[in-house]
Amino acid sequence: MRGSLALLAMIAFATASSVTLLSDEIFRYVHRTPNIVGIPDTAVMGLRSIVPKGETLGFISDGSDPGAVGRRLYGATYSLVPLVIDSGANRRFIIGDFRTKASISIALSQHRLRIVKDLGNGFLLLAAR
Amino acid sequence: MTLLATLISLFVPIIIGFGFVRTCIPGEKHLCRHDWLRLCLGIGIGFGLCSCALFVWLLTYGGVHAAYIAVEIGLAMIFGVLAAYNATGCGLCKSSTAPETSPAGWNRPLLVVCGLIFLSACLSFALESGIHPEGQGDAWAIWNLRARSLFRGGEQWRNAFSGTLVWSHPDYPLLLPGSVARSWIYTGTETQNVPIGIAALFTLATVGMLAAGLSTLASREKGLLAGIVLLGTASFVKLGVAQYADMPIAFFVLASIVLLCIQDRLPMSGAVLVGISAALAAWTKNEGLLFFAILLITMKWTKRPVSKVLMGAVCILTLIAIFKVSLAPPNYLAKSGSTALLRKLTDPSRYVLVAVGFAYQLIHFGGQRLNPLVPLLAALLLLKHTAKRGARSSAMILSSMCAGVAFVYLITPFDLAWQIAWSLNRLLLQLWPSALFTCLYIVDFPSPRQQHVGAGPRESSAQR
Repeated sequence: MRGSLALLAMIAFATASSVTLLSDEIFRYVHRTPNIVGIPDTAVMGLRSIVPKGETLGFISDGSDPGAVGRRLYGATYSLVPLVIDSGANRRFIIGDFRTKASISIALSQHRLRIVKDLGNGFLLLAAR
Repeated sequence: MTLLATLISLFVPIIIGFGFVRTCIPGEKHLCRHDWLRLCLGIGIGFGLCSCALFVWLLTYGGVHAAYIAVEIGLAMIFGVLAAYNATGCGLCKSSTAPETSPAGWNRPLLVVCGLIFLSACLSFALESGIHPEGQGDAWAIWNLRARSLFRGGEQWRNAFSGTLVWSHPDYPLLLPGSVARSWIYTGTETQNVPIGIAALFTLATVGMLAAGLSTLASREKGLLAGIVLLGTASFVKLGVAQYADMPIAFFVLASIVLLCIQDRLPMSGAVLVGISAALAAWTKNEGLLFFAILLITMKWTKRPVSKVLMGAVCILTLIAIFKVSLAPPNYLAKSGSTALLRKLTDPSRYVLVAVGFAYQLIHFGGQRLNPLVPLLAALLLLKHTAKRGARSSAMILSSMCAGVAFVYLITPFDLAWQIAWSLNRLLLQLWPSALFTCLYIVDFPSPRQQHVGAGPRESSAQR
């Protein structure tokens, strides 16, 4: 009797958990939004023809949350690998991550940069003036 | 065409692994029920061996090349022939034990429930893969990033371990990135189906290994029940689909423990497989090194011979040593000075935080507000449990792993609360299949058969 109870309890927990997970996933799938990690692939092709092989790029952002900025840096690195991206503006080419358009001109004048290419998804390829 | 190449790229390591396992644990000329165990073990071992082969190729030739495929095809043929030549009879079939402590009469209902939960888990996996085809954060920030570096890098593949990328843990070994990169050589493009497929195979192999291991050691009913509980653990399925290396390491920990428990019924080459499996855990993530050390200490403690285990592990450990010495930057733990270390170890608040972290994660274990530990603990409390072969070693390994993880938290240079919140649930999930295996292995479900059948696989007098 106790053995059957224990067994039924395990099955009931597992079934309930499995059904809940499936219903959650269905809901999330139906309401999903496009999710691009880092820089879109089409822009990566264009960037490769501009930036020399083996170059280390800089990275600046207008974000204030270090966690979110970090994720954007990781996303950009994921897209551009084997190019290495280092945080900061002391490089020949820099990836700019801008959430608001207003901050672009401020960053350009502050770091004495120019826009080379709009990479999409909020990323710009910048170069020293 | 890409889909076909993806399927072939995933199939070749399975052939290599299955052939290798069948060489070490000989089977019948035809397939027997224990080939499920060999197949599940072969999936993980196969990907592990292929990632090692790719690393050796990269060190030798300095970049990926389509010719590498010939190496894998050659390995598949060699192990296929060896397995066929070595098919001298299944030792596991000959030494089958009576399932005297299993819920008899539950076979068919358990099979139906297991099938339905498997289907549900597959659907959940597919839907989540559709939402996040690139996996969760660490998948693209660490594992697939490294795979891309190996695949795209050409002669600059060593850039993957640049000190600039310290946030991507460049000191982590290459089992998962290597497995993904080698599959992309087959497809020629970085199709996302590859990491998804590898994640699915490791998740499936872990469930299969658990079910087949318990079927071999106890009974089919226990195996099915374990499969149901594991597939019914929502966070386990989510971890699988996240494309993290935590699932492969969970697989190798479980595989090593299952092999340790059935070692007495295996030829000497079974011990070699224990070593290979444990070393592949170390080739997956740094926690695997801790696991390997604990496994050896436990085996010594329980007076099991370790020479064959070391023999199996030596090649993979050599590759890990080459990787750590010549490529990987130092681990973050190595950067702490002795004074800082002592200060952390003598700070009582850190012990409290770690204890609270463990308690919180155990209370919230499993996700979906349905904690699978509750019915499992109830079963352990309500039912009798007897010592079985290898169960004590398994319990020692798992508790030592928890202690080791707690120690790493105590000395971490990062913010302790953040690191616990970020990683502890995953570290516990790495041990969950093995813990489930150990609990269901030792628990005795009263059944009518129990009165008629004699003693089963009880612990030997050596109390291993």
